[in-house]
Amino acid sequence: MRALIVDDSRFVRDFLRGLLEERGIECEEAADGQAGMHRVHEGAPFDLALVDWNMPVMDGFQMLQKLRTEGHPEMKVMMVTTEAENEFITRALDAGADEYLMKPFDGEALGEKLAMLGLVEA
Amino acid sequence: MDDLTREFLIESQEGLDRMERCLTDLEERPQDRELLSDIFRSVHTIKGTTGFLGFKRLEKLAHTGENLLGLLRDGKLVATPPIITGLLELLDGLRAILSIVEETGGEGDGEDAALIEQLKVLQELPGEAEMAKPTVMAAELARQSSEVLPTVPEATVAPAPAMPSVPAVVPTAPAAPLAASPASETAEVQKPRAGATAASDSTLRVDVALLNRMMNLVGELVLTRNQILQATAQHENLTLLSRRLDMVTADLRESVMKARMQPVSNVFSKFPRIIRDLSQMLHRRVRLLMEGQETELDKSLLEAIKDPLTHAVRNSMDHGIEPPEVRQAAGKDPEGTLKLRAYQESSHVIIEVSDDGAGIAVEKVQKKAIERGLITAERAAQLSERELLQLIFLPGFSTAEAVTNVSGRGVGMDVVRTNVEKIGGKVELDSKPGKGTTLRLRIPLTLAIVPALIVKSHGQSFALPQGALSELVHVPPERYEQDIEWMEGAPLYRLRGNLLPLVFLERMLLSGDGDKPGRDRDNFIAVLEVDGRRFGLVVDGLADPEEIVVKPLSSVLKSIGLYTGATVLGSGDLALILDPSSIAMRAGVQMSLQEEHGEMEQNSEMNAMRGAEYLVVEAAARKAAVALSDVLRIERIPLSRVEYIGYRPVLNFEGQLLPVEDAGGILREAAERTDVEEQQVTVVVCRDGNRHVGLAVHAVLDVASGSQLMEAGTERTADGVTLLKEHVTSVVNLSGVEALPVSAGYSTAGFAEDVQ
Repeated sequence: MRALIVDDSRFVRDFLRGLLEERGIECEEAADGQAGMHRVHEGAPFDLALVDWNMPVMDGFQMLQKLRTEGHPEMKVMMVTTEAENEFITRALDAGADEYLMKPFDGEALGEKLAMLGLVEA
Repeated sequence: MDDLTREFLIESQEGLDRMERCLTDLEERPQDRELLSDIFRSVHTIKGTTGFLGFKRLEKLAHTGENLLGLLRDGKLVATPPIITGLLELLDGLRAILSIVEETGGEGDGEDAALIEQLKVLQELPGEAEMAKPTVMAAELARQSSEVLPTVPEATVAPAPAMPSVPAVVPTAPAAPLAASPASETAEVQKPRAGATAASDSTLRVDVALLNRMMNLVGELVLTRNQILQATAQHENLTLLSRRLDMVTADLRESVMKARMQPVSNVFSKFPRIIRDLSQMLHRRVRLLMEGQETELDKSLLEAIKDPLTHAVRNSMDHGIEPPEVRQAAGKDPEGTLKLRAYQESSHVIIEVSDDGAGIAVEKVQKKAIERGLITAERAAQLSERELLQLIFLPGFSTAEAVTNVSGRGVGMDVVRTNVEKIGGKVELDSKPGKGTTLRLRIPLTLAIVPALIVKSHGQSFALPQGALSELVHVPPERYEQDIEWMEGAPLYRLRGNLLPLVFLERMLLSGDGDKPGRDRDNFIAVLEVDGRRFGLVVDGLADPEEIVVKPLSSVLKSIGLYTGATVLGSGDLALILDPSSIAMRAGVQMSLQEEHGEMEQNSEMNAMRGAEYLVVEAAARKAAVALSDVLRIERIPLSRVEYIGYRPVLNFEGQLLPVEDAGGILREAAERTDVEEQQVTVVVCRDGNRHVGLAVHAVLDVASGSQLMEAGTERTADGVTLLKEHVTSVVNLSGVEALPVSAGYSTAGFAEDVQ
């Protein structure tokens, strides 16, 4: 399984990568939405994208819209937000996000969400 | 501390640095949504990541800041000066906690209630109550914007009567920022991104300790290479191998060094804040311009210039730029300009701090220096203006009328100079009364490996850093008596009409060889410039210049004070690295007359018209002259070092590609020689404005002085002619050398016919 981590914080990217790799999920990273779209277009397809909301250049919501305009039905999109952005969650789900994850989270919380998406066993 | 926490600290500190830059920009453009989003994001990220690590104190403070910033970003609040001050305090607060985390791993027990309360109060300020302030700022903004920035938020027009002059036709003006319109989001995209840099995927974080170790290893490699190069000189079959080792070492050295390079913006970015604070404290109005922030410098050097640079900036603010009233009375813009500029010049980085302030009053300097007993009145009366300026660098000198807490604690410019010279740099000062002052720091690109000339004294080798070396003079034994003059036991040499104090290295190191040492042998004078002094160091032998790797000295040797380090030479011998500055001090060399030097720099054009010095060269049986002030170096190089871009021969000189002018067909001639050993050419490397060019010549004949007669220049390739030793010689027109890259064609310029 391949996951794409899109977050402008290196800390969060490292943190997520650690948790995902523990579960045997291969990870790629991007520091903003635009770089994330490049990754999507360039390499092998992803099964999952974890997308931060507030990023420079192209934010997570714009990236989500771009992804869903292009399609990529095989790719699940999980928005990673803080409480400040929570009010936008419905907007994101309407725009085609599959799940959301609230910061701060731990391995357990991430695992639950991955199970909901049917990507790992509960 | 685990890796994640360390990552968190680094990232948060970077975020706060960015926030600091943005905040100072925000003062000028309080409505810039791009800036506000950037600042918001910095704090937001910190808040978002503290949760993972359970740093509650940080989270709480960042959260309060985030709320305030959210209101600003959404246009519900205007960034007034009190708010910006509050945000700067938030920045300091966050930094303080981060440094506690860094030291202890925990957040400490500090209380942030007051700061949090302050930030909450700022959120509640009604927009209307603050309208008076924005009016002033908007007017100010309008004034600046109409000059430079065509993007003025239209909404500010309403409260500001001064606004109608602002062009309303600007297409990208964000609409009504006070009313938080989503339309402005699209407008934002076209604006340049202010100070923000996204974490780039192509960079890698490297442990500095590891990098230092790599640097040391590269140093060892350079030394080994030097030794192998010397050893293989006798074994021909190894030559090729050693040449490859040479190339690999050079490339490796360069890459490791590049890895240590950081942009000067890392240091420059501190100044907007410093200047903001100082402007308020000193009641100055100052505009800060920064140029060349992308210029890169070795990390350790960057650290080393931070303090000198800060001191220079403080000096400019305190002593340079006048209060607005004074400026206005003098017919100047009440707002002063402070400019920080960085650029690279061959193997040095130049950093300039210039202001358009009052300049330095030479009479005051003179008076003060006498008062403080730094110089006698008689001696002071003999000094030129330029020399008087140099007195500022003496320890214990301070021109401050009163000791302020900004600068002028008597640890002023001497510390700046000492620190810069410690890293092999130089400090230059220019000042025009009423016009301003420029302080120039000349910093070597790297510290660890320096070019040096190996000199000998009584069979021992010493390394002399080339930074201080300006020229070499040979005194053969038969000229000893007439060339070296003795005045009351002090040796002097008459260099182009100026007296140059001499220091015999052997006298310095041994108990002294009685009077007139080195009478019956060849003597070499290394003319050194350091601390504004100029003197000649006399040695009895010269060896090759070498790239030496500086190794620290043991404390026993260090306390002698004459050496900066030690190195292993190509021959395998150890050599101590001489410290010209301590030698000058130890020998009691007085400030030497620098008039000749100073004028050469200041009036090089005038000099070109009147008497100037020329290097006389010969190419294809023709003589030509090159102004000596343009000549950087004369190199004897193997032909293999000359490469070709198309038909153009180029030379890799200190990392720069420079075009080589080969009017005499010298390169072709050398290439035809069968013996590889003889495929050597002489190239004169010259400065032509901002670029360097090389001239291939058959021979360097002489240095002579003469006056250039511009009008007489008949050839398009010649700058003019000059009268040298009663012969008319044409002067090479350096700007006639074609620039690189060249699309086609061969040389157009060259040595003009010798019209003698």
